[in-house]
Amino acid sequence: MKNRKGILIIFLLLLITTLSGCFFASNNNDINDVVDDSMFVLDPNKEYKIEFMMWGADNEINNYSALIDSFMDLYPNITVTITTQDSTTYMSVLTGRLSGTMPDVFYLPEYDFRVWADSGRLLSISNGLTEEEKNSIWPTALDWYSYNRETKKLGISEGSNLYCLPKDIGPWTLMYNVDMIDEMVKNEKLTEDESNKLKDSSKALTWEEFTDICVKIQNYFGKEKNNDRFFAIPYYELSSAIWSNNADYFDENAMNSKINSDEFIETIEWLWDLMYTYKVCPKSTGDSAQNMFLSNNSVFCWVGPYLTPMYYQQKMNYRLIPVPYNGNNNNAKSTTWIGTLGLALSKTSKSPAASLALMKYLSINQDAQIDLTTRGQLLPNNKSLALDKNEFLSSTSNISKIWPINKELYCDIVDGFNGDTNNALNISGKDLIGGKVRPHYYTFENSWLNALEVEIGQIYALKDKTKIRQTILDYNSTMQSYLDRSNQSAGITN
Amino acid sequence: MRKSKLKRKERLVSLVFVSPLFIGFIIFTLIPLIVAIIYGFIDYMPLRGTFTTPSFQVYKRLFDGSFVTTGFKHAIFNTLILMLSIPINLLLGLGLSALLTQKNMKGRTFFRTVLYLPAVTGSVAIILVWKLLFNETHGLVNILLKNLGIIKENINWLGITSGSAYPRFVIILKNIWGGIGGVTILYIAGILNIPKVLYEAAEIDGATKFRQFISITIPLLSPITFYQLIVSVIGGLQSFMDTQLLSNTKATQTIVYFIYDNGINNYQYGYASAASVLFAIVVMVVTIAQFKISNKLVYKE
Repeated sequence: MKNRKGILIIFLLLLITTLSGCFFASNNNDINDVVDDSMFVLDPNKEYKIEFMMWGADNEINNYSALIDSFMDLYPNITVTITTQDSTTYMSVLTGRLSGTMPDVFYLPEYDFRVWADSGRLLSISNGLTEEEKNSIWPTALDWYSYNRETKKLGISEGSNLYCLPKDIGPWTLMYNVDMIDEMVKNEKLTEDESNKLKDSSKALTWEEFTDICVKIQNYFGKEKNNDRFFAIPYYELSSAIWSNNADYFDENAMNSKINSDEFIETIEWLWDLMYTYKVCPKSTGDSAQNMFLSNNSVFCWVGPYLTPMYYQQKMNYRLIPVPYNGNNNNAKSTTWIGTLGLALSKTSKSPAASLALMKYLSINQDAQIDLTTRGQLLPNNKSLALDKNEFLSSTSNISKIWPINKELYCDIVDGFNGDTNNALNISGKDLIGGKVRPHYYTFENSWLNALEVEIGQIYALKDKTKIRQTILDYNSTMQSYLDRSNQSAGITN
Repeated sequence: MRKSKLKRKERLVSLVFVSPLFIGFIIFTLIPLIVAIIYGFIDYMPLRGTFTTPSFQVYKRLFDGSFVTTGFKHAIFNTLILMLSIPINLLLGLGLSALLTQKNMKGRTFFRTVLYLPAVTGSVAIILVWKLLFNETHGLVNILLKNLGIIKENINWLGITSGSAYPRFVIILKNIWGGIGGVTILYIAGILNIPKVLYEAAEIDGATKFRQFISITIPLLSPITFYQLIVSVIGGLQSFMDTQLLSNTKATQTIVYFIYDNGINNYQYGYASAASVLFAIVVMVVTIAQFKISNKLVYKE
């Protein structure tokens, strides 16, 4: 009897020890990420098998499957297996796979890039791309996915490496329903001048101008038409408002909180005004924003390139506008968020050459980009393709058929301040339209943003506007604690 | 004493039959539990593959007064508040089961079916329907309340802008609605199993219907009440989906959400595991306490 118990205990201990190995992920923390370019040379006589992990809606998965089939036709010695995962569980599954076999190529959200790159889980592809290939991509996208593990600095700098290629580049901006605005002009509820300001996508409205237009829209479609479901705008993007008042969440390296700045507080007060003073925006979180826009219960809504096929199918007549900025702040510029997912290569991949070939195909191959752009899946990652007047920017070309008429605004936002779009489009005047990567891209942890949004939600619930300032000031130390923890997790102390 | 060949064979067969359950328990419960305990002590960061020397540091940090402590305390408080649906469910379920076992009540089967419907409906589907019902701008609830003149302005029931009362109220209401069918059906089964002779004897002794309910029905239903209490309390403590899908506010973030947020969103497996271990201990203590109390209160034949 005793022997049996002993055998059982030994068996259990062995099983636990063996299986526990699955729960601990080893990591080589060597800081030197420079990879020899020979690693990325494909051997035509060798058979490669690689795995690509992604998430997406059915149409996106189908588009990428078709694209990967074309890739395998082009490279018959490479076999790609696609693993799809629901977006809500994607990152937890990916992290779980660290202790087993990682996919060779995988989607990596930009807001998880810094911690993944810093942890040494990604293979540097700096030496895998030719100068010509690098030059074909929007410079900002190369900057997003460059990182120096030694100085822990984001962006291109001395000693930095490139770790991802852009899957797409965003951006996320406002649009309006053209038919509804035309109806207001026809009924003299909005002047031609105001309508023209909306049409001019090379200049952003100021907050004052935007608020005035919203109030007129609300009075007409909401009050006059007695529709209490109507709101001029279903919600307002927090980051787009903050950045467009030259404010920010933290300083350059995300070390110190800046939510206690006058500009930040002023922005929150303006957003509060949209809800309570002008009543042009509901106090909800905006999860039904698209439905409100599609059912004419709002004139403005937020949009990104990936929604293009849906609005085309719904036959929506819409135009893009740059996000409004605070006209009373001389340093404020129209700034919204850009960038989405990166295509990353696992450091443990046994076939880096084949993996990089796939990454390049999905990210910068001209034919693939034309295919995806024609389907409305994304704005071209290739700058020259996006700014081609005869193709994407033309209103008659096949590639631009389903895109909104002033799609050049997407390019302008991605191109950033003082970029090339104005030259390409012969626009005179200052370039005051640009974008930034979402704020949690700059930190090693994400929970600060969720916590801050929850806190700001409580502020939106305040009936007394005068309490906003003190509430934010009171929260500043908590925000700083979140940033400290984020930085400490990467070994950075303030 | 040597056992017969037949007995040894029987034992082997029984081991083969229980082995799937046993192996499943080891792989999916025991090992993750041991690993979670280890993670909590060594502040394991899977992405970096780093860990510290074993200590109680992570556990201490959960209570050191920092913002993490605030988040953890909020999570505990929210979880307990949201569990208010449990006693309400039990009381309402008991009342409804008494009503639905009345012989002279018409449409009993219909009402039982209707009551039980939420129990067989997918919880995600239920949450999505409730989300639509309580939508601020076009939800049926606001439209009805407005048309009846009860409210003047739409209420943001689920959003973070509405303070703490509304989202908690909606979640509690949803959980009552979703749970009452199961509770009632079990109580009905329990009531139907109570021997009629007990009621007949009580009636001969002159006991009123109310007295019979208090002195016979409730005590004889105590094993069912106890079972439902255990299952509901454990389920309530594990609440997560409502926060994730229905209303994610400071007032609705539960313990499991706290664990998820730290572990999955921030790769802080140490915090998440420490909180999980503490949570498991609390669940265990609560369950043991319930069993101890049950020895005194639960009727046993």
